[in-house]
Amino acid sequence: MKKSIAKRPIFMVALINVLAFALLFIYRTPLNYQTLYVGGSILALNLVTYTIIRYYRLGDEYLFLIVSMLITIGVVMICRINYSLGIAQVGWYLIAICVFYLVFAAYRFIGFWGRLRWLYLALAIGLFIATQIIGTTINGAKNWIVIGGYSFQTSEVIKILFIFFLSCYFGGERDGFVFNIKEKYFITLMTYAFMGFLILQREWGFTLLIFATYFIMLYIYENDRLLLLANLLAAFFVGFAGYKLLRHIQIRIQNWINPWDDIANTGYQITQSLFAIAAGGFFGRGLGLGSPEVIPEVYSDFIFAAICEEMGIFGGVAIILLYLIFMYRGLKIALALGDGFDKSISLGISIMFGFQTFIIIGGVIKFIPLTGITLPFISYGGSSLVTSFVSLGILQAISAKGGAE
Amino acid sequence: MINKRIIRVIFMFTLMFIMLIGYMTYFEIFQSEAVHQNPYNKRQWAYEEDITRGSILDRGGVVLAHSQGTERIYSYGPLYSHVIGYNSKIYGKTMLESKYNKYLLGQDILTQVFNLSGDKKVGYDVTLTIDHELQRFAAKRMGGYSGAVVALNPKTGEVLALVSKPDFDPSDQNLVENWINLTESEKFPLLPRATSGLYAPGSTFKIITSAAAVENGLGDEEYMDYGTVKIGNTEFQNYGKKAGGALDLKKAFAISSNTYFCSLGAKLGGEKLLAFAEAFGFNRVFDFDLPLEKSRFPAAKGDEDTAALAIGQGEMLATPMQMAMAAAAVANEGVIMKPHIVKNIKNSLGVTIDETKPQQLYRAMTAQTAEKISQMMVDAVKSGTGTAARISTITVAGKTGTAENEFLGREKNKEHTWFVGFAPAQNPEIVIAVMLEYSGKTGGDLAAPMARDIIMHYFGK
Amino acid sequence: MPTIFSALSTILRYVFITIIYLFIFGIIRMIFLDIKKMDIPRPRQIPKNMAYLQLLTDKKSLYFDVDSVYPLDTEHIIIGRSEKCDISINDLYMSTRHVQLWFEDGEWYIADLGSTNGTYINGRKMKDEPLILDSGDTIKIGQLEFLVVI
Repeated sequence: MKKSIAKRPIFMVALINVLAFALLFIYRTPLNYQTLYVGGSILALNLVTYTIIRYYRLGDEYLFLIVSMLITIGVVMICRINYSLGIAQVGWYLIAICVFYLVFAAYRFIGFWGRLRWLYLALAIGLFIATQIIGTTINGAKNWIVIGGYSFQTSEVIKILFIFFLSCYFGGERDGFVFNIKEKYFITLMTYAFMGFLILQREWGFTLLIFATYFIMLYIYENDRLLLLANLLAAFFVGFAGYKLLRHIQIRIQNWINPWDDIANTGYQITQSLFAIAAGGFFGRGLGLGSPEVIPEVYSDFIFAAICEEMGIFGGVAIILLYLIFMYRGLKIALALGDGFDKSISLGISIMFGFQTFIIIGGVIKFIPLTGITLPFISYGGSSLVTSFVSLGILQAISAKGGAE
Repeated sequence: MINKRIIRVIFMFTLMFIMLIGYMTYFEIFQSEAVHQNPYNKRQWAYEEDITRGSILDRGGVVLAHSQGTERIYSYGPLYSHVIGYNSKIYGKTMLESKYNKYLLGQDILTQVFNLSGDKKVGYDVTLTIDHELQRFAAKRMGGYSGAVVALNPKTGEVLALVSKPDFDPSDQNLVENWINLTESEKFPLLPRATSGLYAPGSTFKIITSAAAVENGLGDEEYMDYGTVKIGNTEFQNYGKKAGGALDLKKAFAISSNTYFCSLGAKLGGEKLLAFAEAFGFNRVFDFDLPLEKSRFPAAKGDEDTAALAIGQGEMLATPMQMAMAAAAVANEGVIMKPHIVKNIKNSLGVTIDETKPQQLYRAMTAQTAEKISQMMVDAVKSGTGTAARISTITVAGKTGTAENEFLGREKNKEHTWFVGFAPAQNPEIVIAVMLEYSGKTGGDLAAPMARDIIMHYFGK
Repeated sequence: MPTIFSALSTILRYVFITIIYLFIFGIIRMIFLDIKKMDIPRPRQIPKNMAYLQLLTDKKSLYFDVDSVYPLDTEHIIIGRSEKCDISINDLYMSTRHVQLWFEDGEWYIADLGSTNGTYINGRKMKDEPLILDSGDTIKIGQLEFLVVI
């Protein structure tokens, strides 16, 4: 029972939007009316999409509700840090929403996604090779492809292909053979191949993400506990070998244990992040009153530190809770489904979102070693935002299917 | 089966996310302050430059430190170097400048909205319990001696004066010019002796030994003082080997008989003595406004040890603040009020942000015992070792001390001299501890007259 | 200007945090109601996407006939004792025309029609103005309690 619209969660999203953008509007002088357009566009996109989902009953409404809150907070923070990036992000959001509807329709009305495993594998390997050949090096890692002036991070696409590939197996019969290899060993092998490629690209975050997702999926579906144990041992071994052999990983571990030793150099980023969080306290400094801009990469990987600085630990905890509810909703959709491709896909997507959030937030607050990866829906970046909405579109389509059956 | 595992996965993620939240909370509560103060934190520099640091005032409103732009001005030069400390971009912050940094840079909504002084933000003002007139006089009266003077109000725990010598000019300019001298000088001018200096308390510790004796029913029996006494393998002697004759606790206290107290200590035993030392604050810490060194009292290994400890020698060390607290216990019916030096904190509009309320810290002994010891201390000043502290119009209670130290047997005239006491004895308003290190005279000759003059000054005589 | 901004921002940070937590609370509440709804399986005869009322009161204790499920299959429904009502129940504690429900702009509304014994939504007696119904709300009319499933 609701007496007024004011109690509706979507209203809270709108309220945050209006208040925050009004505040940003007077943040810099001379007044920049574009701020209001940015806020208005985000608000309009959120309200329209939410209404469409609700009115046409396109499945679970909470998923988008949470995402709209995350998007709002994300764009507010990006605008506050770097104005032109904020405007760019609105553009990306518009594209992402369109992609969301397309993916929704495609997934909702096309039924043979579970039979394309070779296509996913071929696409992924193709992308890996393409990245190695025509890729651009950004921040010391060759993991971007530039097409027509726009660059995108191939690993973002690959992680979705990986979920599809895995689901073809987990959502299927699970006892076939590929080239005389039992299917479960084949996908294990392929997972390690994916990880190998990602390590070549120095995508430590994605490597970890792919492995964690694979491992949890295996835990859920596979009764062969020995294989699970073997994987765990392999992970330890690979991690240990990586630590011994790769300077990169050693630095990351050292900076996790004690970043203060090398503040000026390798520990710079993480210590700046910790300074920001410490400056925020429980309630934050207030929007526009902190100095998150001194953290390198603050608009993408480190945006959580900026949120903590200006919105406080309480703001940060709220973000974590939002992701937790989002994940719960995703897994809940999977729970309601019978065995099959859809269940497996929704599991894979939810688990991947969960780990991605954990890896980057944990890294930024120095709870675990830092591995660069974006914070879904909040970080600046076209590839990240669009692929997050691809995942959301799929989840949405699955939840709509579930309701219609 | 699959769904059961999915539910387990939901639990796992919930746990992982709760761990993130837990770690963030832990970080905020236990680590963020240290991280925030890290010298590499640019944010902090920028933040400080944006704010005019608040002033520090004495209890009457005399400005002791204030800021003009980014420059910190200490109006009385070295006088408060061991109370306020310094605030330097290069050498960091010490003492109150460090401990109250958050407040001196303090901001609240009121200050921000009604900021009348222009565009620069203004921090909070910190008012101390220090009486500037008394502080100034005590420092002057100490002259060139190294040591400390601590004056407290025994009923509230307010610190009225806190002088440590040698001191130094805390201005940024002086620090830059003389840093090497300051850090390498053999006189250790950077050591805040009143709160962080550790010294053998000598005979002033007999206050605590006496309390232990009274509460354990000892002290009324007769004792023959022959000037020396052998306990275990050690011979303890009175000052100048003077024999005191037939003594009870009261008389022994007044003439500060070592032989008496050594025997008394051995009779009491190490454990009881330790218990009382701890009741008075030894081996314990409390959150004082300034860094406070813990005073140490060891577990005695035998009668010899106990005998030495009973007269404030042996492996025992006390800060002048600790001995002032011991006298305060006697003055305040056995209760030590928590010493504090910050009276209140106000924002630039004069609204009180925080205020220190008197608070009981320890109960050292019963009121009856305190009353007896108080009388003994009055006698010690009236007719004992502390006569130099006598004032005709005010009854002063006190105890002198002359403590041997690491120079014993190697060099003469290197003892620490002490006087601790309070006045007026019937209704104490001020407790004082004077300690002069390596001064080479007796407490009665040197520290007692100094204490007398400071007390007289306090009462305006 | 900067001073006004910082004062505003300093105050608004509390507002932001409050709103975000209200939001989280709202969602958790909605999900909770959703789960409550899912505990009772959707009856066969009700098509997907159709809202309905689920009887919560134990039928055995009643002296009159009542269905366990009433589909909300038209856009305007009146509940009462009269046989002319869309949902007619012979409960003596119910007024002839007790309460009406209608669908408008994607929401189900409820309004009491001046009944003698009143209508209770989630245990609270409703006033004169109409309310929007949400999945998981309960409606008590006469001796009966219904769960709203939308």
